[in-house]
Formats: sequence, C-alpha cells, structure tokens
Amino acid sequence: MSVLSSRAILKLMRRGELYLSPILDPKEQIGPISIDLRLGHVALFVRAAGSSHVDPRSYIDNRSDEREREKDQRQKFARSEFTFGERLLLHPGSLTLVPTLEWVKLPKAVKGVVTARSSWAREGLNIATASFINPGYNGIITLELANLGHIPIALYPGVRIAQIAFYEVEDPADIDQKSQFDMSFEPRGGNIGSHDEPFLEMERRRNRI
Amino acid sequence: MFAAREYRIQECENVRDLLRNTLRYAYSSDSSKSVYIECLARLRLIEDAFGILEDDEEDELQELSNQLSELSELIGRVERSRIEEFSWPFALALQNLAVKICADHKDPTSPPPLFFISADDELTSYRIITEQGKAGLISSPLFSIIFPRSLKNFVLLHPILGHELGHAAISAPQHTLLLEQNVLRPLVAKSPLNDLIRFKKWLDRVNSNLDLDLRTEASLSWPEELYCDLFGLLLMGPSYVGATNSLLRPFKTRSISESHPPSATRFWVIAHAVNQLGWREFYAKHKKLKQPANKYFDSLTNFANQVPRKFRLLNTSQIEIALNELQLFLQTVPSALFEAPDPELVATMVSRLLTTCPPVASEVSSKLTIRNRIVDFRSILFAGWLTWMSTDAKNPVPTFINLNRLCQRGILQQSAVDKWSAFKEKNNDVRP
Repeated sequence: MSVLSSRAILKLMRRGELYLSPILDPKEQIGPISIDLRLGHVALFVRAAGSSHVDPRSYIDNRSDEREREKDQRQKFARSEFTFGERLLLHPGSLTLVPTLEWVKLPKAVKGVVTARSSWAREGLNIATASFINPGYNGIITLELANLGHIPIALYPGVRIAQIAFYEVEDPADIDQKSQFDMSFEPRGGNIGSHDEPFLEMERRRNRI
Repeated sequence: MFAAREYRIQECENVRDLLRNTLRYAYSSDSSKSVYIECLARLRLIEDAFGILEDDEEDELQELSNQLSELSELIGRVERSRIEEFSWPFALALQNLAVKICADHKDPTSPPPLFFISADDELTSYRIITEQGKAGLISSPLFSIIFPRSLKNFVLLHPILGHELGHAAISAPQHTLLLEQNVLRPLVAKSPLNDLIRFKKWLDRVNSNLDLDLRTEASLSWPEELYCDLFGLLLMGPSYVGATNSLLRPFKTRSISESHPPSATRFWVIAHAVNQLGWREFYAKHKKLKQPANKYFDSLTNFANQVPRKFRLLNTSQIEIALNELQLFLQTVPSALFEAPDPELVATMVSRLLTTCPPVASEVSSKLTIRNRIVDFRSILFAGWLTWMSTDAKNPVPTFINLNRLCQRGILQQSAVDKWSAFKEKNNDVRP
C-alpha cells in the first residue's frame, strides 16, 4: 500500500475518479502527499446533560422503538450552524463533531487517512479518533474535535484544521460495502451496538440472573 | 387597572423586552444589527408618540397601537429567524439579489433596504412580507423573506420566491410607477383584466362564484400576480418552472380566488414566456442535455397546451412586450437578470449530480493546475432540475431530497469560492 503524491491525487481528480472540492488555495492547501481540509458549517456539541453515560446496549434496546432511538440520537447532541465569519468555541475537555467544508468521493482503490494539522495540534486541538476513510466513500468527512488544552479554542468555518492523505488499496475488486456514514451531508452519531449483539445480549442475561 | 395611554406605554416596554430577547440568538446575516437598530428606532418613535397623547385621544391611540402590534409581529419573526431553520446558503444568495433590486439606485443617500429571513410552519408558506404606507415611521424599508420550515433543504423549490420578489420590487416606491407603466399595463392590455365589465363577464363564462366585491378585488390583484410570474422567471431562470410546477400543480388548477388567477392561466403565461426566451432550444441542442431539457420544458408546455382557450386571459403579443420591458428593467440592476449558462457547464454539473457529487467542483487542468469557476446559484438549480429529469443508464438519479441537498452543497461550496476570490481580488493576491 503506497501513499499517493499530490501529482497522483490531481491526476485522479482530473480523470473524475476522485472528487475533492473546493480547493480554494492550491498553493497552500496541497502538500507533497496531502491536501488540507477546512472546517465546515455545522457543529454537533455533545450534551453533558443528554445522557448519564454511553452504553452500546441502549442501541440494541431501542432498535424496535423508533421514538426512543431518535430521541436518544437527537438529545445526545446540540446542533448549530455557522456562516462564514461566525465563531465556534471549543471548550477544554469537550467533544464536538464537525463536517469538513470539502466534499470527498473516493475511488474503490483508494482509502483516505485524516489527521490534524500539526500547527493546530500544538494548540491542543485533537481532530481524529476515526481517521480512516473507506474506499468508495462519498460525502463530507466528519471530524471529532476535542480540545486537549486548558483554554477554549475559537474556530471559524473555512479555516484549515485537518489534512487528508490517500493510499492505494491492493486488490480492491471486492470492495463494495457502503459505510453507515456514506452520503453524509453533516455529522451524525453512529451506532456502536450494531453487529456486536451476541456480547451485549449475553451480558444482559447475566445481569438478570 | 391601567389607563388607556399608560397601558400602551407598558406594551411598548414588553415589545422592548421582546426585541432584547432577539439578541440571544445567532441570525442569518450581517444585517441583523441593522435590523435591531431599525426596530429600536421604530419603537422609540412609537413610545414618543404615545408620550404626547392624552387618554381621550382614542383614534390616535388606536392607530399607534396598530403600529406597535405590527412591530411586535415583526420582532417576533426576527426572534424566530435561526439559520438552522432554513437553507442559509440559498437565502443569502437570494438576499444579495433582493437588496440590489429593492435599493434606490438614483438616491445614494437613501438607506439600503433590509431583508430579514425566517422560517414558518406552514407547508408551502413561501412569502416576502413588504411594508407599505408607513413612510413617516420607516428609515429603512424592512422586508421579511419567509421559507417553509418543512422544506428547509428543498432548494429546488425555493426559486418560487422569485415571484415574491416581484411583489417586493413593485412595492419599492422608486420602481412602482415604472413597473406599473412599462410592464403591468402592457401585460393586461387587450385582455379582460383591463376592463372591469369585460372581466366580470369573463368570470361568468368560467362559472366563477366570486361575489361582487371580490370580483373587483380580483381585477386588481391578478395583473400583479401574473407580472410576478414573469419577474420570477426572468430572475430565477428555468428553475422557476420546476418550482412552480411542483408547488402549484398538485392543487386545483382552474379554481378561482380573489387573490390569485387560476394556476392554469399562470402556467399558460409562463409557458408562453419560456417559449419566447428560447431556453429549450438553447439547451436541447446539447447532446447530453437534449433528453432532460425536452422532458423538463415539455412538462410545462404539454400542460399549457391543454389549458382551455377561455383561461388564456392575456394577449400573447402583450406578454412579449411586458417580458421585454421587464428584461430591460432587470438589466439595470447588477446580476439580477438570469443569464443562461453555457450548456457545456450545465452538462458537467448534471454529470456530477448523477454521480452523487455536488454540481460545482475545483477543476484540474491538463497541466495539473486548479481552477474554481464562478457559477451563479440559479444555474446550479437549473442543473439540479435537469438531473431530476434525466434517465441515465449508468447512474440512477439521486432521490429528490439528496439531489436538493447536493445542490445546496453546491451553493455552499460556491459561496466559499466567491468569498475566497473576493478576498484575493481585494488584496491583489498579496498574502502575508
């Protein structure tokens, strides 16, 4: 698996196999093996009062109750939109999901890896816990922002806060699985209970005994 | 118990509180400060006027109370204006156009009109609320653009607001006379709408059960509605066709009300104007756009051709005269008149949408340099409608909601490109 150079990335874009847009400032935004990503316009702030704790089992318990499932999802985050020039304040210890300004569509033979820009990381901004972007993914990229410093950080839509590098995937013929976040227009919470039911169900039975 | 005047002064204090409460929220645009200042100035004027009245001056107290009530309603709309509730990339693009159209270009000292954007709960409540007849009280005319909340992301339907901007334009004192003389009157000349007796006979022919008073009201309101359709079409371009078709066709197309002409009549007028503008021929000659462009415009013309003769209220040559005059008017306002984009650009945008990508993109040249084109939001919407009409063997057409959101995304990305380009131009591309 090799990393793509900026030249290789641009060639893929020219052929229409890779979509990454907008690139506003090519000189500054495109590095030798990466492209900088800008902050988008939505923020999902995790609500401290939304729930007492995170529990994958609650996803299993609520799967047949649409109201509860939606309620949990929607109450977990406070959602805000920001136009250009408006400020988003990230407080120490808080977690906020934001989209990139860029829309990205990857070919089946390429995966993306997102990391923080080192200059922001030095200010205490951590951006990526789930940094792999699957081959074939299409949509905005969700960044999980956390402030690891001791003072709030102000962010503005349009500022470059992350970077993406691309890697070739060997033998991509069978890659066809869509991620649960495909065609995302903005960040949303995931489902941490799905496909782990045997373990979550077992524990519940034990609790009952 | 309060005395009459004392009670009104207390009401002023309540409205002031409501106004302060608007500061709790982030609003849609940079104009929110100007809106606050304007509302506060109006409130102070009303308060001062209450201050010099006596309790027994009932008529004057009542008149001022009505003004206070209207102001309170306006501030209530301001308070409910949150960018989360409507598509702000579209709204800001529309607001830019609206300010230019309703500004008084001949008088540089006049304050610019203020447009405020909010969302309402009705399913199809697209409106622009204009202010009329309060000249003594207003320093800046204040317009409210209202989107239906439930259609937040449906940018392909939003071009119907072009019609509402027609009302706003003709209500602007500096345009009223010109638009009435050059557009409205020629539009209805030689038609029953030009003569109340003929119009009442026409209503009998179409079995309208409007009562007498409402018939007179209809004769006054219908011409402006028909002019607004032409205005919407010239302002928003072909996407106005898709929006009106989708929003008006599901309802009875021959029903008659005092406020609006039957939709059958409106579609017939729009179809004639579209034919005159030649958009179908311009886009259908492009190989990739032939099928969707024909299907798109056919849906309008096929319906218009079936409109019974008696519903074709206007004289066709008069529609053409009015259309030409309206084009001349819009040409005087920078970027107001829709300019048909190059078919190749539209075809590229359709291709991108069919692969579920936003219609605008940074393009890479053969020398591997990047170019960002300036694309008008109205062209993006037209590409969205043509995509919806496409039957592409390779790529299924996205769902209507995804198509809308991709177009909205396109408008958002374009606003970033525009902002960046404007900055570069202003600073002569000199960066620190």
